[in-house]
Amino acid sequence: MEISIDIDDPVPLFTQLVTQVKQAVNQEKLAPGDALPSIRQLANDLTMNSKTVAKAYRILERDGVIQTRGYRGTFIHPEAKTNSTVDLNEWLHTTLNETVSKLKASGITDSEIRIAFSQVMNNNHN
Amino acid sequence: MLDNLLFFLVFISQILLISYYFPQKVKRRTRFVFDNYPPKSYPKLYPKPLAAYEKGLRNFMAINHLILVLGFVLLAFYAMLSAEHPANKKVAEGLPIFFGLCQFIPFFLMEISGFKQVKLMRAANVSSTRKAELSPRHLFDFVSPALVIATAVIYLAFILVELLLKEFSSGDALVRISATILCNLLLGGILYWNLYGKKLDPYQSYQDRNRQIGFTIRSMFYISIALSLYLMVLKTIAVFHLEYLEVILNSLYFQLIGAFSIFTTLRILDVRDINFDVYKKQDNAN
Repeated sequence: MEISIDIDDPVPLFTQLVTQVKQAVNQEKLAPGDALPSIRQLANDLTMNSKTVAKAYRILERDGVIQTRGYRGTFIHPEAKTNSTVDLNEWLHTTLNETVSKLKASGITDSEIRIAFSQVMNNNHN
Repeated sequence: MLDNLLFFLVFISQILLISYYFPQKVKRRTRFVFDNYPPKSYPKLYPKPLAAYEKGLRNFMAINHLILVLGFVLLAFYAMLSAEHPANKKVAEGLPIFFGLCQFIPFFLMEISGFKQVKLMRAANVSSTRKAELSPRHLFDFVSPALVIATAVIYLAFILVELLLKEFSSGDALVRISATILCNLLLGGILYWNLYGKKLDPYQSYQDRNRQIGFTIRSMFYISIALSLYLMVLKTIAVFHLEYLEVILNSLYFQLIGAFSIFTTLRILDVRDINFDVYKKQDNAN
């Protein structure tokens, strides 16, 4: 299965990778258990930075589309097709939009939301 | 006398094989590409004007012709030198190696110009699209486990021969073992770079690239086996005091390496099997 990346596309490269892998899973071009190339191999083949491919793989693993089995490599997750339909990024935006709208409706200002958001993020980080 | 005659035959074969036969094959292959895939229809294949490639081919052939003449001059010198030496003694045993290295110079230059060529192709590639196959490449996709095991066993046999047949001091054996370890590490590095390294030709099809990787990897294993066997035979003839055969063995070894690296490239990577459509003009949009 061939993957194609457009470096001039405004969509980030790692997002293009994630989207195409999910599309391939949905279209059954990639089946559960299929092996994926290593990060280094794919980065070299696409003449991309390996950190970009690693980021895409991390997102795909988080979304349950791929799984890493140690030294044996990376494979398509058994539940990949079901998990590919759930777009966590889209869900994040929807949830944030709903929360921000609710906060604004309560009369909280944009700057208060930003400050509070930063504080919550920092507290969670520490 | 017989061993001298045998050496003449083997050395003439080395001269003609590496400096005449292989260059002629390369010339025919290059001409075939020029004639069947011209710059007008396949512009991506020619980042430089065709005249530059014609000149490169002429230079390649001229250097080979010079080396061919040098080979026969050296053979004449060897004939004079060996006549002055008693029979069954080694004479100028390094000649085939020294001359063999000279013979490989034009092929080495050709490799360098090949690297420059793909670098220019990458620079000229204006397409913003990058493509890759979403399948992993593993060593055993290209070579059989039997070949890998055979290479390791033959190398271990070489180490055993070196350590058990103590014709020379153990220091010599250690130097040879260390040198072969370095050589095998270098071959391993080339293998790894081919398997996982960057794609050099930006237009090359997936199938062609896989064929090239497979060929290069198998060559690395064959070269390692040839090196171990060569050094084992060299050691054996030293133990049995047959050093006068060393000069013949050296020449045969170079011909074998030439056959592995040049002839098999030309035969296995047949130019008619390469997908040249990727270099066509209409692919510019991709």
